[in-house]
Amino acid sequence: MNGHQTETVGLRMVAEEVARTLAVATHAPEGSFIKTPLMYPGGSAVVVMIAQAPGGRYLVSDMGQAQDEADLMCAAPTFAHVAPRVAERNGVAFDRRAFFVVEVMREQLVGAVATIAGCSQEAVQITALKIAEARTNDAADLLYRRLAHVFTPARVARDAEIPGASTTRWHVTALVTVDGRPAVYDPVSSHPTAIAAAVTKYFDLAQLDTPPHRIAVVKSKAALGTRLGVIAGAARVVEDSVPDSTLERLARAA
Amino acid sequence: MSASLPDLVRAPKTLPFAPEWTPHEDQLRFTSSLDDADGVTIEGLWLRGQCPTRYPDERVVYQLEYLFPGFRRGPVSRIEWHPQSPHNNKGLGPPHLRHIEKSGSQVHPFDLNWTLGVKRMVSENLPIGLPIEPEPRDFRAFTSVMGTAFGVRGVDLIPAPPWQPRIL
Repeated sequence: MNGHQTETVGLRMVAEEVARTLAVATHAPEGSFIKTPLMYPGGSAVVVMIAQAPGGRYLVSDMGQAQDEADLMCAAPTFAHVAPRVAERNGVAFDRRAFFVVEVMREQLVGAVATIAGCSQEAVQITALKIAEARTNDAADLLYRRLAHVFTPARVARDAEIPGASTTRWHVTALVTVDGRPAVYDPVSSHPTAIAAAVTKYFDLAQLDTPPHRIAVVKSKAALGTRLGVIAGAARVVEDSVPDSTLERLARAA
Repeated sequence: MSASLPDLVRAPKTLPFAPEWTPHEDQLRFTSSLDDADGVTIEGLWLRGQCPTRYPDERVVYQLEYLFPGFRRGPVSRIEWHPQSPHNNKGLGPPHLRHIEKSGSQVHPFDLNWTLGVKRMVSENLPIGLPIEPEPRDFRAFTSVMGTAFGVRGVDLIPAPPWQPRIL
């Protein structure tokens, strides 16, 4: 063999070794674990478990590893929203914990392992993208930027504190001062806890001798359901799709 | 708030009292606030512990979490004992560890991941890890390594998780 042929053979051996190492199986009493070449955004390898099922079939699962990854990103709610759709798109099951396929036949195992690994990785990747996007487009930031545009930054205080009638100091997302009268603006989610917190704050602010205007900005009034009536007792509620002129009018309205 | 995050993470912290591991699906978890050097609870910083209920001494994780502006919580440092899967820093972090798949216990230090910027640090789940050498011999030793890595005193208060080993 000449030098070139030796190099080619060497490279092929290295490539074969790399290919073999990309996926490795380990075994435990409850099943076998395949470390796949796929990685989550954080760099951990995607591992898929194969377990023996009755009738010579197999169960293939990611054992909730994707959910654990998302949970450590403090993004479990986002993942819970994303994962069922990923599972549905790929024709596999998701039980709020793990991606899995049941009753897999021997000849389906390679494909099932690849599919589950792909789902597990994809769901965490989408979750990561969503939380990165959410951080940029955080509702509070968006609202502040919008108000600063409408009223000029000098008139808008971000993350301000304002005392209520009880002297409790309340955090508000934006405090706008127009003609000497303050107006507080907060994005309020449809979650009951968020609504309860907002109502408590607005109720206390409303008891002041000269109360500030209180404006709750929500994504969808319909999503609030009957709770819209609760918050409407202490603040005016607008959807975030209202035009800038409405936001401006609310700061001036009597 | 995030401008002072490095100071917050690097400052000495103390566990105020013994946390309690509680079941959460197939895991055991706790989340504890942390005190500063004056005994004041640090706003927006927590220590979290978690491990699978049925696998003693496996996949134990401690993580420091911070409430970022905009009221989103995210990881700022993590340490893992006997993780299930190997880790790969990809092309990030210390050159000698780039593209090297590492099995075994590891720490994802704040200082290395902070260099990526807060958005990547959080959304990529602390992608830069370092192997812990030697491997902690048991849970207590691992917890002690965590205390040193995170600058948290009083970690000996953390009880061993009440694992319930799977019987096959």
